[in-house]
Amino acid sequence: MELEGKVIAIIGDNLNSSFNLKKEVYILDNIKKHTDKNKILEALKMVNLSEDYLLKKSNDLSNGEYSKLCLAKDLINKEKVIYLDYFDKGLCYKEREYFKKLIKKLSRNYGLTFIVKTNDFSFCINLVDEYHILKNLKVVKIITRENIYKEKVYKYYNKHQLIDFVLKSREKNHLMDDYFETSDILKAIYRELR
Amino acid sequence: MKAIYKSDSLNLSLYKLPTSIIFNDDKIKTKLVEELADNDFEVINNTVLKLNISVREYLKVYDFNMSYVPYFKLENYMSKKISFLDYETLIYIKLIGFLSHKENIFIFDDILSFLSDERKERILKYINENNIMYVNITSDIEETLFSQYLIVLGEKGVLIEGEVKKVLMEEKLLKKLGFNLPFVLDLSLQLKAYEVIDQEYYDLDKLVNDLWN
Repeated sequence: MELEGKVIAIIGDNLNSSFNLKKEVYILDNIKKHTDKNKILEALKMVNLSEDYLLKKSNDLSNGEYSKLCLAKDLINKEKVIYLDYFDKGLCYKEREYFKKLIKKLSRNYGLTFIVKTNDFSFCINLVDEYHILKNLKVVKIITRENIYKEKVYKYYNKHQLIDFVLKSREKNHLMDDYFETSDILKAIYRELR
Repeated sequence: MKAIYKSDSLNLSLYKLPTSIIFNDDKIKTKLVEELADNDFEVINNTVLKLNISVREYLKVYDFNMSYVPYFKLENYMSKKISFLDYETLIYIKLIGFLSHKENIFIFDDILSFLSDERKERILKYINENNIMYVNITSDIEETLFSQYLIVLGEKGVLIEGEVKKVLMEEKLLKKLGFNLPFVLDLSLQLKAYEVIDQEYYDLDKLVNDLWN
């Protein structure tokens, strides 16, 4: 299975409800002990955190801050496979869009593999290359992004308004193509009603 | 800087209407949550403890009314140990426990988004039926439609606030500040701008019906 340079979402096996509870208590210490300070600062900058975070205590970190530091640590350690465990939680919309672009760039340009686990399809849509369905911790099916509608990948996630709109429009024999962006839906509606 | 939670808008809304708070700056949101927790507000976040007691024993601590077990569909969980539950169920039960004290004002710290749609609906139904006051600090714009008042928080504090639909109609300003709009509202505003429809929508089914009929 070729995983390099891909963003993969893992679903099934009730995974979306098994968030990793064990926060790494010493994550900041693990970052600070790195000898190359430039590398630390570069990684922190990439995840939108300032140098001030090195003075914080691990217990004082919010969800969003902790998630970003985990990503920074993996980048400093040059991990080839990075796990994003409910990474989107605690991030505002602006930051979520920023990180989606960053993750895509890191996977395409640097060959990093990202494994995404979340219940929010809006984080996956337009980001994930493949959806790996697990059963008893084994990959039983792989669905590419082109087949999201055909294979009904969205049923593994919480309701997504855009997908819901397309599906309900199809019940009325409209919007029969696959849509992932509001702008494309707008154009399609305009074409159909003209 | 004045404590965020002491700003007039937050004081008013905390006591009057179910409120949503959205933010475009993680630091300011963290500061607000810390202030609220330090000032004895009931802040419910997503940290959970894996205790070695049953769900029944856990909920008894909160004086949970056991007649609500079917309402929350907890029948299969009551005799299970908390430590063996999956994370989403832990969050769900934590919320149920806290919400048993209906007279409190609850601060949800980005917690509802961890729940499945079904469980979120059940919690919100219980909140509405029991007139429970809450402030939902959330990163999910769709959740703002559940409440009646909306506060938009940025780096310097409260940016805009008011009734949810009125604030959400400040489309240009919100997008400039880095927020998105709820999908149905966003789509309908753009369709309205193209004169395909003549009003904005908040309900997806209604938009689909009116658009294609």
